[in-house]
Formats: sequence, C-alpha cells, structure tokens
Amino acid sequence: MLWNVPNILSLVRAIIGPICIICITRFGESGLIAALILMILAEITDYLDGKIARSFNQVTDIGKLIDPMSDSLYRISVFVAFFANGWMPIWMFMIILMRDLAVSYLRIMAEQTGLTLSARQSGKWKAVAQSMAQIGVTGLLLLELYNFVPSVDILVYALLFFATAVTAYSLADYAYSVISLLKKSDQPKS
Amino acid sequence: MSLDALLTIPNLISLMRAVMGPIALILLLEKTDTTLGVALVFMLIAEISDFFDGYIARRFGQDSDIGKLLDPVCDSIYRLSVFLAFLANGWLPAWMFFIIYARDLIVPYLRTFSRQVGHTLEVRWSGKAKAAAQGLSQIVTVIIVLGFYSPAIMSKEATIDLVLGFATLVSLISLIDYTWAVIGIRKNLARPNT
Repeated sequence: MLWNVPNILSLVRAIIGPICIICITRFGESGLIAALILMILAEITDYLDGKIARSFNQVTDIGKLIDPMSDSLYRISVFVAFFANGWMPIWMFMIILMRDLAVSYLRIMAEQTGLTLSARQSGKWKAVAQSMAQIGVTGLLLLELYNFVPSVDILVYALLFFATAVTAYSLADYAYSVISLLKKSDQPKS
Repeated sequence: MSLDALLTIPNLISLMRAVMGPIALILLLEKTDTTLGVALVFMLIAEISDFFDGYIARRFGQDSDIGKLLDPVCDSIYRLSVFLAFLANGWLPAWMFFIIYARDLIVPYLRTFSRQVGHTLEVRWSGKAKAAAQGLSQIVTVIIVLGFYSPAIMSKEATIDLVLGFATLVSLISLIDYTWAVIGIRKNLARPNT
C-alpha cells in the first residue's frame, strides 16, 4: 500500500525540501517568507501522516520507511540551503548529514539480523530540535531583515547548536542500540 | 551477523576510507596549493582502496554481511565529505550536492524495503557507475583547480561545472535505476504465483 493518504503526505514533505532550497538560496526576502510557509506546512504533514496512519489503520511497513526517509530529505534540504547561504558552520552541517546517512544504514544492519530497528525516542527529539532550529532561524532572520529586532546572530547560533547536539546524541543512541542488538544475536540461543 | 566479522582487512580498509573523508575535507577547505596537493594524494589513495577492499574480500573469502554494508556506507561518508568541501568552496552548486546526498540516503531505504519483502537488492551496475563518476569527477576537479590542466575551449569554472554536473547526472540515473528495480520487485510480488 504505497498510495495511501499518510504516505502521500510524507512524500509531499520530501518534495517541499528541494523547493525550500530554491526559495532560500535564490529568492531573497520573498523566498524566505515562502520557505517559512512551506516549512510550517511540512511540519503539519509530519504531524498528520503518523496520526492518520494510526487512526485509520493505515500503518504499513513501507510507510514506516517512507516517513523517516521523507523526513531526512526534507530537513537535510533546508540545512543544505542554510549552509549554502553561510548561515551554518560546516561542522554542524556535517554532523547532521552523517547522522541521517548512518541511521539509514544502521537500519539495514538491524534488519539483517532479523530485527527491526524501530523509531527511537532520540529520533523524535532530533526531529523536534531540528524543526525548531529551522523554523526559528528562518523566522528570526526575517524579523531581522524587517528591522523588528537587532542582530539575531547569537540566537541563530544557539538554535543550530542545540539541534546539532541533539542530532549527535541521537546518532550515538541509535548506534548503541544496534550494537546491543547485534551482541544479543551473537549469544547462543538457550 | 557477528561483530567479530568486523575486524577483517577489507573492513579496516573501508573504515580507513571513511576517516579519510573528513581529513580530505579539512585539507580542501584550506585551498592552498600544498593542502590541495596533499588532498589529491589522499583522494587517489581512497579510490585505490575502494577498488582493493572488494577485491581482497572476494579473493580471501572475507566477504561478510557487515562488510557489504560497511563498504557502501564508508564510500558515502568519504565522497560526501569531499563534495561538502566542494560545496563550501563554491565549486559545487547546492542543488547538485542535494541530488548526490539524496541518492545516497534513498538507496539504503530501498534496500531495507526489499529486505522487508524478502528480497535482497544487490549492488547494481548503476551503483558502480555512480562510484566511478563521482570518484573521477572529484579528482579531475582538484586537478583543474590546481592548474595542472587548463582546458583550451572552456574556462576552469565551466569545465568544473561540466565535470561535477556529469557526476550529478550519473548519481540521479543510479537513483532512478535502483527505484526502478524495487518497483520491479513489488510488481513481481503482486503477481500470483504460478
């Protein structure tokens, strides 16, 4: 069941990502406003897809993959745009890039031992921290552009730093859980 | 799968390549002739190691399940680190970087999906073509920036765009090819067994 409402919502989120890259890197102030609206829409789809899937019994194996994949594609897109615009230091961007890539492989590793790596709490925290940073940074920069507030540099840095720290923690948490899964499967079955 | 299978020579070579990614990244960011030259040497070693780890694994019967995952993930870490440096140096446009990253992120998900339906998605020709195109384009880009090669008809910038655009195109084709393969698996499953 690929084409049900929750999966379509997830895929819409994945498509919003590249549109955000174009808006943020090419269209200045108006692009930034458009991106902010798109980002809020994306967060709404993130909230709705899981909710609809559960309440209408549309939870599928493929949906459990499409949701995190679309999440990664969407959020990484926005960070690509932030980085390309020089709003984000390279080491933060690198950690965020590598976390999503590594987790997608850790999932296969777990799958090979016949175990499913389910979404962990740290993955949800990561999503929340990243979305706060993305919407927060875009909102703050818009406020600064329209002279509502003085320099927002420190706040922008703090939001991005927080998101990166939670992301790094999430990677460690997933890696640790896969290693303990593998260790368990190493033990002879009694 | 066993954790003991992790510490074999082919796997260590793969892991070494993953570590070389961030080192190459730092060297490339410095953008001096010396650091670019050293980065180029690292990149050549990484490409050679990419060839050898698979060869050694097959030759000495050390191919393991974990190695089959470690090899592509280390490949991705290494090449994406270099492309990240290119992006930061303004040699690679953001949209090309995104396509290259998205390809490497989506393929493991496609692989997980195939496994869920009881099918192993093997490495496809397009995956190898992608690796070759990316590896080659990275080395050629650094050679052009260093000025060892100056094209007669085009500016340096245009040549780099063309070379990296080619790598992006091959990555995109590879993504389409893998997606296509997975759609094929789904169709086969939908068909009743005869």
